[in-house]
Amino acid sequence: MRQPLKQAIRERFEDIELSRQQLDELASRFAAGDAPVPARKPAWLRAPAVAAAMIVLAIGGLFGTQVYQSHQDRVLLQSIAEEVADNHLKLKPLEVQGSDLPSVLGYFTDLDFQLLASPRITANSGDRLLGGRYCSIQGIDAAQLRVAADDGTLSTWYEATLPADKLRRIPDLDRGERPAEFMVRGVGIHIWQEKGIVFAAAKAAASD
Amino acid sequence: MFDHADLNRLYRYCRVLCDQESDAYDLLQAAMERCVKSPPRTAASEVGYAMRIIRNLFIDQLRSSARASFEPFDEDNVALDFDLASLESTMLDRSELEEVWSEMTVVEREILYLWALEGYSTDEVAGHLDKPRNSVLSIIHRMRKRLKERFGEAQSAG
Repeated sequence: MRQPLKQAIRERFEDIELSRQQLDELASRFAAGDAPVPARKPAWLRAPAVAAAMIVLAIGGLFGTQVYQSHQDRVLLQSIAEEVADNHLKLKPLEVQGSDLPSVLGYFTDLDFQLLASPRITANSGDRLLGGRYCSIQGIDAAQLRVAADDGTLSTWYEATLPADKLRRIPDLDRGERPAEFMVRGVGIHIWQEKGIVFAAAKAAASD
Repeated sequence: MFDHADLNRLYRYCRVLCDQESDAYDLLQAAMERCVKSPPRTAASEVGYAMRIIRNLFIDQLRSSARASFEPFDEDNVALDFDLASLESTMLDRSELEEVWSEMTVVEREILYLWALEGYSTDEVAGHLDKPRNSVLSIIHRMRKRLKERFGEAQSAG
């Protein structure tokens, strides 16, 4: 059956994956966290940098720390947004189909956290839940839900969990914070947390 | 540094460049080693950084083995009015894709992969390939022309 070139190419590559043995081999050789720090620069180059850093610390103090943390937060959120965009654009086949949110959530029995039936997922009138599938966010199993709007536009929703040190960097609606917003490869993405669960929503950016 | 999804994503890119699975895996391993020795500055750019390393290593391998060469980018008089969007309406089935794919140059496969799976725009593809935008447009133009000649107008309605 003929299909658009883009879709045909995606499907061609969907099946191409490293074997479990290859993944394990790579993981053992290049495990997360094993990456060495960049090579040290010569002392004559380091000295000004150290002096500059000390000055920044002295002047910036707490402000500097906050800026750094803010940058780190942004790096994490951007990384999640990239993953969410990947998942959204691939639109892999649904593993469970249905329009009843609690029933669809019931499919995800292998997750290490309790999924929330957030009313935001089908908050817009006309939105229809299509189903869901397992995916991963930051290397941890997560749930992806797919929702169709009245006009056929698809959005994907994600519920995930993260270690505490990462979770605290995600905007928390329960503390009155607003979701982080990103635009990745034409996909508009919102990321937030509710009750300790990380949520992300993705849909194609509206064209003007 | 990279999770399984990242590794598979990078492996697929290696498979675009290398016909053989073993060559693709070797290329991925070599790129991982390079990434570990010279990590990117930010976590957000890790995959993109690794893709550039993969491409550079691949080109180095080609040069050293002289097994193949990139087609010269001819800046001739072709109409440069086709960007990646012009491929959106091309319709074909799996066997037709396999047939066309096997006959494409590495650069053509790369462009299609970056467009279809990585969601790159024409400008982003040109940036990744380190080539002028017009060169990329020229390649896209030739690809589209070949598809039309081979499968007829019905394949490329747009």
